[in-house]
Amino acid sequence: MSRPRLELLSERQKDLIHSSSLHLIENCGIVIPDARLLRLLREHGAEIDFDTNICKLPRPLVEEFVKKSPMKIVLNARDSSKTVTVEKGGRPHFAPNMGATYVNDLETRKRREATFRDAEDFNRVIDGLKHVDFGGEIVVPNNVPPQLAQYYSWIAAMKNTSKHLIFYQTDYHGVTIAVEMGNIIQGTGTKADSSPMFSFVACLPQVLGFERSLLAGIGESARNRVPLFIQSGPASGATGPGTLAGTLVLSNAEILGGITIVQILSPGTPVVYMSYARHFDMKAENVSLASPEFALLRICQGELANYYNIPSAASGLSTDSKVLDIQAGYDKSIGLVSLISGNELIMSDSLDQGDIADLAELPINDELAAAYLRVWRGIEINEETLAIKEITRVGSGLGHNFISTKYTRDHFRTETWLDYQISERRKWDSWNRDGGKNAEMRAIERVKEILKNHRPEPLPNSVLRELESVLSRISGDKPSMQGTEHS
Amino acid sequence: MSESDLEKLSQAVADLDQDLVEMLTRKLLDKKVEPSIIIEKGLANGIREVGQKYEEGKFFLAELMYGANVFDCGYRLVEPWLQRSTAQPDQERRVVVLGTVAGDIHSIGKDIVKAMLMAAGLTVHDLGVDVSVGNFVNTVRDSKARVLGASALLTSTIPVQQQVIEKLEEEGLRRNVKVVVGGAATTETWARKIRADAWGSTAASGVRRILELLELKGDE
Repeated sequence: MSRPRLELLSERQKDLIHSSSLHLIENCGIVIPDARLLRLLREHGAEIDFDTNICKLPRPLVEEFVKKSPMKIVLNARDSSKTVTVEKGGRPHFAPNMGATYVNDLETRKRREATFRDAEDFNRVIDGLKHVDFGGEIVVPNNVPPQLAQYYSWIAAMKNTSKHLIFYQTDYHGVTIAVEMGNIIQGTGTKADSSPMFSFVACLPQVLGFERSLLAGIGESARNRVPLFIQSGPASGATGPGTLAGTLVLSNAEILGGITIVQILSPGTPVVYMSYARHFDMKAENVSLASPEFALLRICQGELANYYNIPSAASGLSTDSKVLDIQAGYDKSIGLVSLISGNELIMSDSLDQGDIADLAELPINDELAAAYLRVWRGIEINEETLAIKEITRVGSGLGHNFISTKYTRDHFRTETWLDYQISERRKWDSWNRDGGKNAEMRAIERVKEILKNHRPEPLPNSVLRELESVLSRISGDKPSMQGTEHS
Repeated sequence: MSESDLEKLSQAVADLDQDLVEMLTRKLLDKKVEPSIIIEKGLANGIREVGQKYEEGKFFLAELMYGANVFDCGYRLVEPWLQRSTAQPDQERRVVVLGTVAGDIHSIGKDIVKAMLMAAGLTVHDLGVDVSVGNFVNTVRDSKARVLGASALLTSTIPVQQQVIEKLEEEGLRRNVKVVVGGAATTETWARKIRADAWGSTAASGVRRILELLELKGDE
């Protein structure tokens, strides 16, 4: 198959970005507020200042350990038929939104706070969709004790989908809870041979630096072989320098620094290169997750992740729009840009830059995922598909056509994508006869159909009871809670 | 002439020319021009024009913030001389203390508020990030600030906002200072619960609340 590929950077430019990032890591250094980790890094040759917690990693050290990242990652699912293998250069996969605290209600279409019920419904719908490959921490419920909200979100996911789950990296305590819950479900009492049924997205929240609790959590994740999305998202003009190239260099440096640390802690840990580099829009006074600049940076991240041979996660099914409207639609075209730039995982930020989740958005994302996959699949070009014999047989002249030939019958099912559910492509009369509905209405209908008819593979009652007892035990413990980044 | 140098200083701020601002400020100080006049007619006048251009959509946020930066460069040169002169009589009511609460390192929203308040002619004591309760309270006491703005962007750090208010009450300072809370983790419900005087849902609305509380702007 001949597949499309977007490129922007020359080889020399990639080398330049790479060495600029290494220069930052080696000279500016990274803040690592963990004395034990700093000592370990010093043993590996890093220059440490224990007063400022700044760690300067020499270039060869970074290059050596980044290379230990696997090119192939297995994202395990509780239903093994849904396990996803992410391979550098391989078939892309699609992830849902994470961390919304609001939803646009399916009936009223107005914004309201997310509930535990929503967390369940979102995962259940995803379980019933064909092209969204993961469930997870899609919404954070507001009708539960705030310090436990993340755990409730995890349980909602575990109960309502048997796909692999993506959660936000949390502190050490949270990781032990996730591992415990995962083990309860997978039926293994100790650290499993099979990898966990969840992965963590670790957001680096400050310029070239880690938070203490995040570091401890990352260490425990690596120890448990939890796949880690190492995510950095400076916004040019605010949390990153005023140019896109500079923001790319900073993002790359932060991700490389994060990957180096993970590989030093636990060599061979499956990691994903996840750049969220974007810009701060000085007119909107907000970041944008769906701008031309966002698209450009996704192309670059695909190229850089390819340079490092590490699977890459890029946003694309994202929108700045507050409602499921035309803007939401055109914003999501960036998903195609991300996909044909060599990113293997396409992430989604729901409405309002991921703050508002909308059930009706899920079938739209699913549809786009399928469409984009068809683009990725490309065009088969060989002697047979060039169709010289067929064209010759049908012959020159007016009134000849191909619609009833065996050749057409033999090829149309593989050449064209027919499995779409939402898109309206028929003649006007057909559309009008069926009620003349727009895409949003059709998406709402599709969601209602899934909610009514789809039953995910349930967890056994004994497992549910064990999970609930973990939760009651925690509410007694009053655990520390990783705050949620909003800006 | 001092008068035209003051005008030039004001224009330099409005043009975001940091080098010129520093040069003219030094020149005016050398000429023994009254420090508070350098600030009011030179620097503050310029930053107000920056604010005006921002309101009109001619300047965007980056220019407003850089303008505040440029103002600060000039202000820091004048500040050591300020104690020796008499402060403007109504300047007292224009003092605001800002900070991001202990445990939290987010600063951009606070920095936007600071820039907008400076553009409106207020004196801002920016305590930075990870500010302890004690630091907030002591600064309010020492500066006689009329407004305190405390920002929290992590759900785990918003309790500090409540602790600041409680400490102000304990120290008998609560009555003389208005407390405005903001930051993405906060809500109006939270602000009411901790008996803050106002809540800013965004930096801009926080600034509007502060100006209202200081009775400097009645149109919101």
